[in-house]
Amino acid sequence: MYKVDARGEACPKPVLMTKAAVQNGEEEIQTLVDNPTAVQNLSRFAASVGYTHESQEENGVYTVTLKKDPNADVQKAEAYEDRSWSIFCTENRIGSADNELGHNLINMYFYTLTQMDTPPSVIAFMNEGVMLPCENQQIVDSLKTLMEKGTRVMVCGTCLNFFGITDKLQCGTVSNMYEILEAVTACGKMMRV
Amino acid sequence: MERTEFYVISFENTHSAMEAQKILRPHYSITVIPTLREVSQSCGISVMLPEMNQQEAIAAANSLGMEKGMFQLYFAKGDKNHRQVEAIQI
Repeated sequence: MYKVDARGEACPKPVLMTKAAVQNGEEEIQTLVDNPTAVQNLSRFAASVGYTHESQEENGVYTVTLKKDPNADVQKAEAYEDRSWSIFCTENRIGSADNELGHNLINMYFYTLTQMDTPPSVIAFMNEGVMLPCENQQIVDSLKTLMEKGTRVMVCGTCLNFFGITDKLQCGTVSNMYEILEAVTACGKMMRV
Repeated sequence: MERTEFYVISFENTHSAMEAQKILRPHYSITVIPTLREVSQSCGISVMLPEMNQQEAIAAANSLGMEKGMFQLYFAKGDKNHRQVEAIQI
């Protein structure tokens, strides 16, 4: 059994790591992940390449076992579509015509993300966007809910330092331009806010 | 964590929704949410109240001091795919 440890990796990385094993001809693969979204993505990927899949959860770690199915009709299988998406947020509101309306809209935006069937894999905050995970309690609560669902929240350390609010960060990981760009562009789609 | 039971106030117009936030925020930990799909005749901004009973929710809505018709209190039950929304008369 070939083993892939994708714990701590944001989508679509677990699928890409497992896909590499499939392309190497491995017929039995065990992938470890730490969020339910990754399990769903791996299941859809397995079906698309003619592998069976089973998953088990223990202490927050999911073991997804993929086995090559000799009877699978790969021609008829639904092609795996990368549904992962990311958000690159550089403002503390949506739009600029009216600040109060903009703050209302961004609160509702992050709340609605928590209700989505496919939440974003990555949310990165830069420039004044970094104020949101520091000062806006409603958005901090929404981000915490999203993190429980597997979303990776990344906050620009340079920007936190510039605004003097590094010690006020309430959720997410302090990050840098390299990591943020890698994570945001690794997803199938990106939404700029 | 998704709440499966909550009281929410919708408004006749956007400005009332914003005014209500200013009145409620010093007293309640409110959440600004898009108006529920099940509620049609309102502006797009609603205010979800923290966990409380119906009597407390009515008191919160009355504390707005707004004319009837400018807002509506609802009780929402169920997850986002199976939600029932009941209008509460004040």
